[in-house]
Amino acid sequence: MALLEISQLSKSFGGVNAVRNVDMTVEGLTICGIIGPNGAGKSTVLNLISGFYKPTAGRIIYNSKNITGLPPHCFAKLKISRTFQYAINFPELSVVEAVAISQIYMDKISVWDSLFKPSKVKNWKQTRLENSYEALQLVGLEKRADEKCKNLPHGEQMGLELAIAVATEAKLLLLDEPGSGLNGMEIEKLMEILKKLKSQGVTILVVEHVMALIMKICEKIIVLNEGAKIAEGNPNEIQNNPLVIEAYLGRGGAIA
Amino acid sequence: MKKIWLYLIGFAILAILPFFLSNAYKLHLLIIIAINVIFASSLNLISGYVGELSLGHAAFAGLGGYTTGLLALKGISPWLGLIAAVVITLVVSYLMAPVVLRLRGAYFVITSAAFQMTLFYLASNWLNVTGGPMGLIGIPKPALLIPGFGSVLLDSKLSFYYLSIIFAILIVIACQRLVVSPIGETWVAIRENEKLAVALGIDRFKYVRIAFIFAGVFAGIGGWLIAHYLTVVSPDDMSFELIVSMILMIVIGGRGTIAGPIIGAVIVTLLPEYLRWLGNWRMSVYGVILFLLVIFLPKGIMQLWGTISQKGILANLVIPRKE
Amino acid sequence: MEELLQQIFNGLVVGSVYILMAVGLTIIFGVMNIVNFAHGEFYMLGAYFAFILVNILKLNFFVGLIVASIVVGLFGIVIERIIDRFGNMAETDYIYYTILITIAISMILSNTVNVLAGPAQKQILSGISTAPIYIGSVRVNVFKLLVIVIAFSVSIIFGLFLKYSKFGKAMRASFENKEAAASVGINTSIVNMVTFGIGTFMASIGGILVGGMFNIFPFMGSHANLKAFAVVILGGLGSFSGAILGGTILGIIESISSGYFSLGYKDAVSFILIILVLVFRPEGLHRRVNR
Repeated sequence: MALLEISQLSKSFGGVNAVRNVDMTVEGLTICGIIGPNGAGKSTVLNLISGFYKPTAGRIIYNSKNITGLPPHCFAKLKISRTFQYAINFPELSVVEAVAISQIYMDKISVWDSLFKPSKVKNWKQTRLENSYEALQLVGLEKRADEKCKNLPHGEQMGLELAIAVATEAKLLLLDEPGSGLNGMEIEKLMEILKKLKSQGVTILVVEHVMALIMKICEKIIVLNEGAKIAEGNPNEIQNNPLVIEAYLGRGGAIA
Repeated sequence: MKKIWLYLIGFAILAILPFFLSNAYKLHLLIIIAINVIFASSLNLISGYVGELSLGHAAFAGLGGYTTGLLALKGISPWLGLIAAVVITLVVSYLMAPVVLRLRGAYFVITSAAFQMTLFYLASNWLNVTGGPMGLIGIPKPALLIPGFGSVLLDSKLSFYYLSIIFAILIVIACQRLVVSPIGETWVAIRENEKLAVALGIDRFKYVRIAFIFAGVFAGIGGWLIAHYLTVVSPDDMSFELIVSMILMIVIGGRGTIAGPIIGAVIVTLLPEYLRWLGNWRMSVYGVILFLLVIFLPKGIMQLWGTISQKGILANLVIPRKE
Repeated sequence: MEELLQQIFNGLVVGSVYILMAVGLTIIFGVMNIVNFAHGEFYMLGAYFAFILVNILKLNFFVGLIVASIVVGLFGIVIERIIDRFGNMAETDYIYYTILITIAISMILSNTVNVLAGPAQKQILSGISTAPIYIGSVRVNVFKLLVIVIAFSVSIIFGLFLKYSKFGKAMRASFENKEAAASVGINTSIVNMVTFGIGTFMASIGGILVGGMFNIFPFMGSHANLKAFAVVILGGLGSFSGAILGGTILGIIESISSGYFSLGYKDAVSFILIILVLVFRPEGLHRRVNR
């Protein structure tokens, strides 16, 4: 039973069919990639899976649970974590505060507790803080803990989002073009972290343009073009798939 | 441990302050300041922390005042009136939440303004119930039942001062606890980046509603206090002037901080007194001051504390300060 | 039935002024994202300028109407420049900032006029007949008919300008998406200035028309402003045709309800209406909700 099963997923905006009848599965503890030329619908699929868009048709099953159409705030509890395409964070908060806040969904602190049990609140915040420092260490950002998020260099903002995924104990991680804007060294580092995460029990689904990244770490790759799935397979198969090559060349793109 | 002493000294000062004042009018001002602290702190929850500018907030103050006024004139104890005021503001804010909180930014502002103006017009015109523009008069003061002493009527300025200060302190503490708790953190998260907050599992509606309800109830308590202090409640208690004054308080003092509303309340209450010599030009000058403040000190006086304070405030919010 | 027609006519008179106010508010919000709480004060300023021109300087009413409104429009541009000049300090809280700024401006303007001109109500002596004329059984007069004609003409002319002129197209582009408009070479500063100027110009006309029918007083702006907001919500914040429709509807409904309820209630009716709209049909609003 795959961790994530998507069947006949479709989304149209007005008259535009952004995603058409996409079927795909993601096995647990694997790294799976989605690629495709611009406008293929990759990010839309991600938004559909994480609840930011409601599908016009189709089903999304996660861990045998039907999560189709759930509002976006329900996904943290399901241990599904996602990143965003343009580094999105809490600008005025410090890095460690951002990671700490990300764990709020786990809170069992009620309004009553807040008003009448300040020591319980304090203990819970302390625990969260320790988790946050650990998560930052995993991604190598512990030295940046007290910097404001808006001051983080671009390359490290992705690290922050990954730290958040770790801290929130995500089981499924959805990455939206994590490699964009990263140089070669940063991409290497990113791949290291992703592999580490996988070994810690995280399943990863990556939407990406940077081929080097996808080809090196994904076990399965799904190719979308104009909203529909045109190919599926391991990196080798995809690189040699004529349909894929045509989709990219036809759009003026190139592979690798 | 050091902090506790600071607070105790502060309370002691507040307790003996009245005896150092030269006249009753200054005591009156202190009472008004205390009630304004309540108003400002309550507005701060929704407009400072969550960040949605509520122009309708004065309506809850008015609801509290009218509720207790109506009941008190029928012979019901002011303390029951307090409970009623809390219940009414709780219910109204709970019911309003789905309507008002669906909206953001400008829409929220205007909707809340519409809500308040509706209540204002109703209060002004429902002569049978609310007494129209003149309002309700002759509202009795609350009495305190002290075992052994019998009933003590809190009709002196001094007793009312202690009553309002106690309420103000309790409400400020409640606000601080809420703000420091994970609930307060969700407010900051929603304000800083709503999309990310939602992706992190924060149900915006649920948490903003909490802020909205607490803000409404605290404002209602403020309204209860004003009604029993002035013994009169009228549409002026939920006028546009009142909400502008509340907004001034949190803008001058500093939105999104605990001390901000307190500083703002003090300044906004005392400023007109010092501007009295301007006569009719008072309100225009007031407008100029607001204008300059918004431009040069958008984060309020707390901003003058410098970046240290900013970091400290937020840090205390999310990370418990190491004592 | 005659009573209903009478009330509809009265409603149209009032409604046409509402339309002028609402359209101004709408374009200012649409193009510049400013909720203009000082809008009513431009309405008031127009009335007072016209009072000076017509009553004191004895100019013709129509001359006074145009001149005063142009002056107010220019003054509006000055205010817009001030808001714009300091806008960069606002960071992310632009809406908060502009609302507070416009509230401050509103306080300054209305209170200064109150000190300078005194609170006593005055009326603009338009010299146009207010003697009742009967169309069927509906009692009208020349001035009221003029109000409807002027208000609707101005709105329609503006609507045509918006739709067909080059500048109007620039305005509409800014309405939709400021960044996109700037990137295709539209000078957003000029668009902003003209928008604010036109908006305040129209408010001023509204104020002068009201001043000719009823009275003017320093705080007349706040009342008008609230009604304008009501119309804008009714019609949909950001919708030009909505403003026209909303103004007409609100004016007529208020007029009808003033017939059945006591005078003060008719204002409550408008606000209850807004709340009902927001509860049951906020779609008109949702166009620009998420910022």
